[in-house]
Amino acid sequence: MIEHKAVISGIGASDIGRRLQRDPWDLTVDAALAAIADAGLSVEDIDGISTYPGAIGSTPGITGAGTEDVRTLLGLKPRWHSGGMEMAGQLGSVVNATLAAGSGLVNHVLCFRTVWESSAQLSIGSRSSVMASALPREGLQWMKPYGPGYPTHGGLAMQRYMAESGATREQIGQIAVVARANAALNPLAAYRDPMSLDDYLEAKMISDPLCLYDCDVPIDGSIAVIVSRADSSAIHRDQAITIQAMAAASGLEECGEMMWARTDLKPSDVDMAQLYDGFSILAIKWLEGLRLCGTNEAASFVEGGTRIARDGQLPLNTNGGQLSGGRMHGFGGLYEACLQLRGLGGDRQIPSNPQVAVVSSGSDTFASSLVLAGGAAAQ
Amino acid sequence: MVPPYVLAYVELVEQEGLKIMTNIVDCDIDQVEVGMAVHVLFEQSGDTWIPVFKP
Repeated sequence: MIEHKAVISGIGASDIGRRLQRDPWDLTVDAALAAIADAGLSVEDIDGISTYPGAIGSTPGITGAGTEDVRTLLGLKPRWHSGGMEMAGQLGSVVNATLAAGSGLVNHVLCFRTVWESSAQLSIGSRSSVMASALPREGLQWMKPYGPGYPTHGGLAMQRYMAESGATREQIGQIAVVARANAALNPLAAYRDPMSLDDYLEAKMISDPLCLYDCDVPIDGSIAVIVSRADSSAIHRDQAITIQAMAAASGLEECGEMMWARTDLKPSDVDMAQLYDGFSILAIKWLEGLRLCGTNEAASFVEGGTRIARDGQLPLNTNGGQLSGGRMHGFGGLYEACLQLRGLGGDRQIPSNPQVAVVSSGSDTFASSLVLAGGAAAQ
Repeated sequence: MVPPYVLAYVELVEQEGLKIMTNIVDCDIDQVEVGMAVHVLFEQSGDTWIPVFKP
């Protein structure tokens, strides 16, 4: 498979937090330079750029730089670039980079994601109606009269899942509760104060049954990773994260099917999962879509929280996820997976030192995922 | 819109698989559940008639 002809050779992050009020280009440059240095490369070595979504008009702060911005800011001379809103999930940008490096089109691709929603919302407000009105799409005319917003989509998904599976808020809430416990150990996480299941259950209802703590938190920050040709002699091969399988698909189940068809590894081989949690229910759906749980079994699996805790059988969203860590929009989980696979998790390092990780991004018809390996499993 | 209101996807009996976003109206909102049978009515909004559903 083409995945074996590319590796993640370096990772980098800017300051990440609430209301940083820093220029998103500065954040992007900080993350990019950190990732390039981490890979043992110099700026001149980078000949590809890949991002999601890039410089496009969308909700305020959802994107902080485009490929052209980064080319200019860093003085890059790329041979290839990719970006856009309609790729299959935010990690589609890493899938595209892997295809480009693995096929030999390029040597080293800078992949990045920059957000500054937290600062952007200082001036425009954060109510979903404000956010939705910034998106002039033809299809919205069929929905807008009925009062939808981003959280109502999560609420509808959660409502239906609970009706079909018999799941309870007490079960699904563990996605948020465990994430908060992990965030307490992550100095860059947005929300680090302790949160109990009772705190979750008593939180403000946003779109029944979806409550405040089922919603991820806008932040500012940038994360970059370098995807290099696996046969490059310039990178630090011993720290490289290998890509065992990837998928970019038009649905979560399709993503799981595509991904597991590309590797001999199985869901039971996965040591940790960093799953997209823009809403808690999305992490539940990803657990099932990637076959880490059976259909309608994910809520039972996370009940009580012990199985998905850092010392459980499948540690989940160990940086606090997007729910408490902050909405790095798919790239936070990728960064965390790489840190953990390299043993760089610090206070929150998973005690069993995981070697195989699953990472996912997106929701509904917009999905991408990776199986990553570090340590002995990466060879 | 002023909450509380019920947002829903309704699948039409007349065409399986056709789901439309709508509101469920004229009922106790705590009684609304997935799978409940509903029928259409039209509410006027300016010069437009908006399809909504009730049990």
